[in-house]
Amino acid sequence: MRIRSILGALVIASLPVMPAWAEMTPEEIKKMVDEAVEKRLQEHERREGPMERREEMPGGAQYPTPTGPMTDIKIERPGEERVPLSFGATGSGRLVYAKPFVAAPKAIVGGYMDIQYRAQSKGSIDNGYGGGTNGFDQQRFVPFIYADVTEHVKFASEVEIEHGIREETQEHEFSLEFAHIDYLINEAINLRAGILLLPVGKFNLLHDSPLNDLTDRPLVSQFIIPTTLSETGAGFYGTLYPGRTSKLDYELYVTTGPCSYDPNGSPRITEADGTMNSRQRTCNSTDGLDINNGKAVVGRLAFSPILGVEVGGSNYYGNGGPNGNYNPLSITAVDWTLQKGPFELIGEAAWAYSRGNSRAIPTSTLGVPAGTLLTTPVTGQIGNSGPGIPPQRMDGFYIQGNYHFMPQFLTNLSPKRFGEGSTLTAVIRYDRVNTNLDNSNGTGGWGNLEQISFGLNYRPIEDAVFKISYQYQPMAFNPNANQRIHQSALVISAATYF
Amino acid sequence: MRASILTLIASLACSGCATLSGSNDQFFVCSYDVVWDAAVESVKDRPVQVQNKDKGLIETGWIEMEGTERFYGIFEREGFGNRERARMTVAVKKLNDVTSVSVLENRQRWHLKGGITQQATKWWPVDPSAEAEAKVVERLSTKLKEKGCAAT
Repeated sequence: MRIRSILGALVIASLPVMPAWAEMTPEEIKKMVDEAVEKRLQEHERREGPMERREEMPGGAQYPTPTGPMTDIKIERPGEERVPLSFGATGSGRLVYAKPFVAAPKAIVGGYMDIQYRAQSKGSIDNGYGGGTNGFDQQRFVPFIYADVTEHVKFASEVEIEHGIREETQEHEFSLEFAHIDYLINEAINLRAGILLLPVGKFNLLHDSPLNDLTDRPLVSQFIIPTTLSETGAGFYGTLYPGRTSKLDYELYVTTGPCSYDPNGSPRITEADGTMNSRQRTCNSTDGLDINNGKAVVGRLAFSPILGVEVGGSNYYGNGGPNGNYNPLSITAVDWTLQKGPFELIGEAAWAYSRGNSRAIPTSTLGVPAGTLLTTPVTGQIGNSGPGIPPQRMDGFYIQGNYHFMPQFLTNLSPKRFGEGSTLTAVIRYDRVNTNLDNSNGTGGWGNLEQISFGLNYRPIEDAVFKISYQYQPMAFNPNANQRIHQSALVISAATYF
Repeated sequence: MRASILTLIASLACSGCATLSGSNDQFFVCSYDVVWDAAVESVKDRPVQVQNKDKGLIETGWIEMEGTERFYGIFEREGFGNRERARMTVAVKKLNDVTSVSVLENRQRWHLKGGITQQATKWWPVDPSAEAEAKVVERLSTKLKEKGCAAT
């Protein structure tokens, strides 16, 4: 088409130098021009045609068939932008730019980080040197990548780097917190597979530091539901609308099961750590694979009768026993969220049961017969301020009230810093946890914890927060001295998405 | 502990349901049929999914739209966009000597806040648009006024 236009223009441009045409009618001139253009076009075809046809031929010669989502890549050579990424793709130097993430309609890279300073009355900070009373901690640096691969395929991932990466310490963590692919079918049912955040309680799903109004996670989310709890698996999720104002969300997955024992049969669920070490990410198993052929089933159902009210119930069940032993771990949780204007009341309660955790399993190599009560001399584990028997049952809850406000005098003082989008939040939270309900030793064992927290935080924007809180623990535990203590702490922190 | 927690949740949920309401309620001295017809007319600019005269319920489908602008993170990037969607429900009910009409918008936002923790690909409920509800109510009131129905 472009060639035809150019030739037509050339013919018309030559008209003034041909006096014979002055006596011709416009129709005759048009006909003559058309014939001339056609003739020259045929000549051009004879000379250049093969080359043009080669360029236009699908899959021909230099650049093969255009397919795939590569149209967004800015490549200078015509045709090359349509080359699909494959082993046959040309130009190795460009391959690095030809990854799907560059071409995806939308990929988002972001993350969050936090930093905290803590000062405690007792030296229960476990620093590996007998404990400390205060210190800075860059607890989490978490980059994430999210991509709209297609309209129906989504990808999300998060890498967690805890306490920086320090080779000489045991407490560092560098892992994929989650990475999953979603295939959206419709709102009622969608597929998800990958490393998943398990829907046990609501806090495990929404645990990011910038989201939370207090620095420390609730005790129940540390000891009973081992947040962050994520495992490899697959399943379904969706939302239903049963009524005019109501909403029902569900998630149901089958995942790698828990890891409740060390290879020698020593229980990993203890009074000091609760269920924290039953996660596969902390297990001795190779590549985080299941320690048995059992899987875990986990699901959460959340019902919201009206905007601002939601109650959720969830359960996790899986066999944590190795080598043919059946020692299931079950965690049941209830969570609630109530919001009305500037007020919020949130909380979560959880119950865990690890069957047979207090006795030796048949395949243990601890040197005691199967079924023997596992006391401290056998396992070497602390706990219970008595015989140190690993727990079977544990529970806990937290309830938290938030009040969002912004005094007018602050807005007047600095509308930029305290204007629209910024807020102050006053927080109060009560925590209660018992990681060994089987212990009847007076006030309970070391895992019987209680805490009340008062906090105030400032959000210049929704995604960034500066927090200060005072925590009082009438019942706490010092892991450095294995002592029950009273504790109080001042915690100052900052967290932001970026 | 289990019993006390469950009791607490149930009572909080009940009190929440009792005190929270987002609907725009109107009362007209008019027959049910006339009010019903006007209610159908008032949402005819939207795709109607449920229209049940016996139950007195009209429910429209979701309509997606550009929501209020929200940037992401401290660098205020575009992030997850500003997509919102809304659907309107109109409930008509015959009372003693009046007919009530309750207009309620359900509005949701794609990726409400925070990171991407499995909640990214999800619609989150947000406050309804009072403006959108008022438009439907206004259309309804105008129609009923033309029919000689008085609002109480």
